[in-house]
Amino acid sequence: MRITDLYVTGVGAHVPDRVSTPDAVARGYYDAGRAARDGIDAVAVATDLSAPEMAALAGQEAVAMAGGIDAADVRTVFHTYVDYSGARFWDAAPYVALHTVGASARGYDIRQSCNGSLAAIELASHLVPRVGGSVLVTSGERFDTDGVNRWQADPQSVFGDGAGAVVLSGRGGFAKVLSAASAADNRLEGESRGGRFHPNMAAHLDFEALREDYLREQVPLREHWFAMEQVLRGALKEALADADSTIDDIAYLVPINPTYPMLLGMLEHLIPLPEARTTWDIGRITGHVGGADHLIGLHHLVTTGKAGPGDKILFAGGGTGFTGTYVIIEMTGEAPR
Amino acid sequence: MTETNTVAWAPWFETTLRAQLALLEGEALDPDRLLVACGLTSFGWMVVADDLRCWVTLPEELLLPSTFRTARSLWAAVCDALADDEETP
Repeated sequence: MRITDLYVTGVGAHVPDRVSTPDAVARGYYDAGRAARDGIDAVAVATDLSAPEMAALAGQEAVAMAGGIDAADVRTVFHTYVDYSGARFWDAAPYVALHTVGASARGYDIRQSCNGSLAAIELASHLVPRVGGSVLVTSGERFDTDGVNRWQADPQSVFGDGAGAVVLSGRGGFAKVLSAASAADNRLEGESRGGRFHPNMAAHLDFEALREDYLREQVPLREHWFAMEQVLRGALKEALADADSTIDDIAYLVPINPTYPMLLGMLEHLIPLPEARTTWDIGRITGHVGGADHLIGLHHLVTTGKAGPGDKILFAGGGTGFTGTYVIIEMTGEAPR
Repeated sequence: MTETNTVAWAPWFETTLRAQLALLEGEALDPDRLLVACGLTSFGWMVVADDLRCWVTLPEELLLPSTFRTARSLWAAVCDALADDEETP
């Protein structure tokens, strides 16, 4: 979808203290062999704040950067996360809304796993032109619930904690949202549950075992891969076309933060850009912070000055479902400091 | 056949697999080393399976993470598939 009137006016991030990979290996958390191959230098690990509290901090920074915007103008908060957020039978978005833009903003939890932030930005691109005002998108993640070993649960990533935020407005900003495109194939939804349901929420999380069961019993690998490739290539093609861009026009790619071999695979098979034009430099010292990866990556590019006017930034996401979303923005000015 | 540690596999097998092992560089291919540690990810599973088709077609039921875990497990799957091919009239 081509987007004409949506701008980035503020970004925020909260990344807690990191545990270095050597430290994690020495403490027995992280397998030494995995550490050697994964290419992750450190992982952000929260010790006090919950995921929504970190999201609120990131949101406050984004709203502050948005400066000229009255908090009352932010009528909607989309908040996204992957795992448990600190309370049951409870949604986190109203908490984040209350502690960022006030009591009257509508808060909606958006669950699209690691694709959540990009899905929320795409939803905002539909909402803002119709109802006006601004939308705050936040994501907060904490991966230390029972049964989740952040270091070993998934051979394709190491999970980090943290939060990110972005304020999107129809009235101008330092970056323009050019396009957003999503594609889905819901036949693939069973991958992350191993093709079956689990009555015990605290069950040990082992993504490799879940993938094995799913591919054996539900969708064969060849069919799964072809369908996922169709989703990801189709959405990327649409996002680039609607941004009047080619892949060569992209200055930076902000993907999810997998392990280094997975990143290389992504660049070789799906998105032909060099590693130097990705946010791997921040990803390798945060770990995979779920849906917050994209927002922390944007915050990194903007606040370090790596991305400047004229740079186009491609965000690439995929979440259980399977849904893939790509968003392209173009820096039109310097972000407020 | 080439003798590598305790596994004798066909040269074409190692050549095909090595093409997807970006992190292996010039090292010997240890049959029990995790292939993901050598750079093979889920992105590469389909490429390996497709490239092996010049010699053998791995059946769908063998295209699993456990098959691509090590060179030994992948070679075992290849041998099973080759045996099935020989049995097929």
